[in-house]
Amino acid sequence: MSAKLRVVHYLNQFFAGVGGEERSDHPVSARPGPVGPGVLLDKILGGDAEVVGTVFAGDGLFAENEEACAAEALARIQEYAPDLLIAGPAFNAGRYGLACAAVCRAAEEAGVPVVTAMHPENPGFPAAGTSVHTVPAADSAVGMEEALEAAARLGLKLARGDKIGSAADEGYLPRGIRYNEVAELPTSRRAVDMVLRKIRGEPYQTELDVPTLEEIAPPEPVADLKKARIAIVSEGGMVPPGNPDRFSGSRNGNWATYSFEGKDALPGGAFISIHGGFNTVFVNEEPDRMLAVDAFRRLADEGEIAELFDDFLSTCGNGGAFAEMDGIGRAWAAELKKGGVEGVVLPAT
Amino acid sequence: MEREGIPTVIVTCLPDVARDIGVNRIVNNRAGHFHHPFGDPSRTPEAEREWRLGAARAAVKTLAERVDGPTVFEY
Repeated sequence: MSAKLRVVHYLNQFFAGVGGEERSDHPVSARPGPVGPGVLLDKILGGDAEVVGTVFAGDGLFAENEEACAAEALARIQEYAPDLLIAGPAFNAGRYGLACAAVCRAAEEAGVPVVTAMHPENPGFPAAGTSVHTVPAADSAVGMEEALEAAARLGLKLARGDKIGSAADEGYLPRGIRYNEVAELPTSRRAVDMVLRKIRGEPYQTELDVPTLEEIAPPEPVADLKKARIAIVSEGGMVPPGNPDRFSGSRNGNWATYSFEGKDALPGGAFISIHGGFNTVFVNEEPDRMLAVDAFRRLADEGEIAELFDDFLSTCGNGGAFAEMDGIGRAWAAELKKGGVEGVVLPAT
Repeated sequence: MEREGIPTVIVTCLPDVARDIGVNRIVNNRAGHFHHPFGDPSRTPEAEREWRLGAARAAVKTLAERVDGPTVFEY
């Protein structure tokens, strides 16, 4: 029979029994064997695995020195040569959740399988990133046993190197990663089955959650166009020839600032489009067919707008993920505000 | 960008898509095309430039218009 899997448990100062907020400056420490909720975890792990050590730190100290504390915790964790790290459950304690996330990221980077547990609204969940597995926990310690059971179940699979299925099948919080898998029935059958279940009022599970989009209230309009600096931005994949910022033609996450300075129009070759979702021949022939710099310069010359902003913010939106594009939009808004831009025109393909 | 308070208009030949995802200011430039929102290669170069000037003017004018939600402006 093979040896028991070695599990290290990460806790904060409270669950390690050191003390409450008054001890949240407690340094990163380690103790052999299980501590506090680790005793229950050890029991849940059963005969196949055991808690060989517990590493803990004060939440306050960790929050103020995250990088150093995570490195220190990792060193302590590695002294136990673990097959698995379980962090938390952090419930809805924000600093504890963030500490669990940081410890898990550090341990995972060092090659240790990790799982953490916390409430889905704990800021530590998004901070754990897309590679760390997080199982859901209640918002308080009443959900201790359930959370530890879920963490142990998934953690043992990770430690053994078993194939991990979808979030719904394995009971972890969705990380935004999709896996391809072969279905038993073809799409047509699954679609008809789903619609029949829907008609009969039976429960059914969609295969593709449609992202819900935030409603944005329209801002105050531009008060006086004649005094307004206007920017052109685009998702049309417009880049200088050679694509120096390595935009990809599909599912791109890059953006860059280029310049219209000194250009009254965009002749062929000023920009090219690397967008993979439309026929770029016409735009490459004459980039103003996308960006209309010639027209906006004329509007400025004729006094209809004050000026065209010289900075051109560019990305490729083909097949872009909403979250990614939202991030780009936020970055652009910051740039445009810095540049005193009052209105934006976004030609889209 | 509109969330951050900067009026923004999308120029597109797919106004329904833009409206369905909640874009507030949309210029539907029907004479343009999916492949070139500010172009119309079927015109002579001179006529295309004049058409584009009109499209750019239509776009900036929407920035000064008050809208309550997704609104399509025709060009």
